Amino acid sequence: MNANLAAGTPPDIMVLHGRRIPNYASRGLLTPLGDVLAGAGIDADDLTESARGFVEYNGELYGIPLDLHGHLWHINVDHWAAAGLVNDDGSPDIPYGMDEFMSHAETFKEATGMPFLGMWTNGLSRNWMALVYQQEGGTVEGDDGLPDINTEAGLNALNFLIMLRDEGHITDNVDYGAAQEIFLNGENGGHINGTWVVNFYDNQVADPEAPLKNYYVHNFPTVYDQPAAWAGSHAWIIPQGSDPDPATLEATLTFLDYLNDNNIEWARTGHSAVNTSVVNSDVYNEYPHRQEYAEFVPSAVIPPRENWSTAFESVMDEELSAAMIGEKSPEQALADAQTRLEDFALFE
Amino acid sequence: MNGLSLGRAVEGALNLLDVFSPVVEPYRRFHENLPPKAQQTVTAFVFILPFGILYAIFTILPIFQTFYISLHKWEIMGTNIRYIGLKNFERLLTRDTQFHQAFEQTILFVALTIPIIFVGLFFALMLNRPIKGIGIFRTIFYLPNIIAVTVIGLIWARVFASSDRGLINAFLENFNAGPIPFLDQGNLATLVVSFTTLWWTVGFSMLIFLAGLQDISQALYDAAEVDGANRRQQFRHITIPGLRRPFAFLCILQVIASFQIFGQVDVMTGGGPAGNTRTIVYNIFETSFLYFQVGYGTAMAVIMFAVLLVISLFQLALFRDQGVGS
Repeated sequence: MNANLAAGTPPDIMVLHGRRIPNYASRGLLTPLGDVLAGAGIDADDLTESARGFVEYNGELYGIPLDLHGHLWHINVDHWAAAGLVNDDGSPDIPYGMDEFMSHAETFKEATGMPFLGMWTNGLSRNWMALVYQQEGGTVEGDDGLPDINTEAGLNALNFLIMLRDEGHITDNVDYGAAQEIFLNGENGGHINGTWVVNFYDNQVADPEAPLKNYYVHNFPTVYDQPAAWAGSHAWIIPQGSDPDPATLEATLTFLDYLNDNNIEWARTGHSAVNTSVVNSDVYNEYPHRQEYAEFVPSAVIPPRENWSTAFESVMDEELSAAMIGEKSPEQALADAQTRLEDFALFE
Repeated sequence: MNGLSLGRAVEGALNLLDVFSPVVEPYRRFHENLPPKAQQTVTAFVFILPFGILYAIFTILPIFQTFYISLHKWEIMGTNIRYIGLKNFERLLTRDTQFHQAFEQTILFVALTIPIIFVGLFFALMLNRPIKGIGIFRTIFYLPNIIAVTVIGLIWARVFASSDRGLINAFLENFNAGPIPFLDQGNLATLVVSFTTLWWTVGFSMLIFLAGLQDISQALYDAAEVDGANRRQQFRHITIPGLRRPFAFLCILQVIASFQIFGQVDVMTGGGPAGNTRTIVYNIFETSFLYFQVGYGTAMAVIMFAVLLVISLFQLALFRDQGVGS
């Protein structure tokens, strides 16, 4: 796509992660849609606040979200039941706050000998970010729009992850595929993964030979003061620049209108729909497990609408990983992340 | 198509060449008026001209373009292009700790993968024997070299996976040992990537040495045998001197290839854990394609080019002193 943009031959329409929109919009490469959507029959006011946040930049709309996706807590209910962590109706007894969470984790480990939670350990920035935003005033962006990583909230979140690992509550040293395999094989109590696997995991349960028999999915664990979960959005954008050919734009908008009208179909995967009317509809709410993570949408964290967001995940993954494997102290890792992201943000 | 119509087709095709006659005729007259020796030289140049033009456009020009881009802030989408002089180099050399770490890591990879040459020599010596089915063994040893790096990386990443999902760790589990965090600990991951590189590329070194060995005249060994030289003496005084050229060739190529390690790192570790296996080329890729800073990434490439140039010239001078290439 970048080569096409450089050559001046962009596609008429394409999907872009919402967190990347600032990068392209700030360079004048995306077509602003605020004034043209209504004419195409698309009601931008129907977008959920979370989904809309991913396609806005400097007060202008630059896309129509296809979904809102993010991290959830996938749970093996049979294991929770074995540890006595279920309610009378058989649903998991979800802990809230640090004390309850740690108490559940200890109880689970004692009862089953398995880790309470699984997560892939080479992509921790998303979980760390959620834990930062769960704390009162927690953020990764300063008032000046620059990265604000080396904070008390950041250190708390990192120390919490290290503590979980040290006390054997999370599966250690696993990549994405292995983390998923461990959960599906019934080797831990739960697994942090995205909305995109809800339908897939649900289908696994339908297989009589699958080790996972009783599946439940909840919002990302709330360990601190308020719910918050890492989120993202695949967004339809029109990379025709600020002065597009009217006929091409009209045809593109017609297609976009069709896609938006059928947004509910894409949500079958497990992603959240982006229109309030769809999210509140009966059909949508009858999708499997949908009610179990209904609070995901309001708790979705919209990453900073700054260009340095592009480098955020790779830099943070690396520095957090350095702290997790003991190559750096948590303080040093966050200080280094701050320096690197600032250097990236300020380089002209 | 019968012979007659084929002849017509060829004649037709040749007639098409008449379109070049406005150029060919003056050239022919110019060529005929040249002294015989100059005629040969000019003809040679004309023959290499088509390749020369393509080489200039697709190889030489990009090299100069690289130097030009490195002096600019240049985004991959072709936006915000601005001349900034040596600022990219200043940032690189003075405060980009990630680049410094990647540079050190690359040097380490070069040092760790140099032994590939000697392993290749060992295999070549083993496979340079007149035994039955030797062709099959040679093929087997060379086979990894023709597999795509993506496949190689995926296979070995699975073998060395840190959890009990890895082949080695699953095996160790039977003995209540492990798991060893092969890809989750900096030093181990570096060794694993180096080993994978060795497995993948040793066949090439073997092949070059094998060709070198077969180039050494059997008469030399026969004469040494008559003079009473034992196997070790023959190896030291005939084989090793006879392999100087392939050795020099492989040394230069191996250092350049090791400096350019990318695929294995990309597939197996993604530069991790904690940036421990990030090499210069991987850093260039991240900077240019993930962070869009092509100008800055290009400055890294220029630094690497300069370092490789110096090392290669040094190696050439060293081998020339030892009589290779003279």
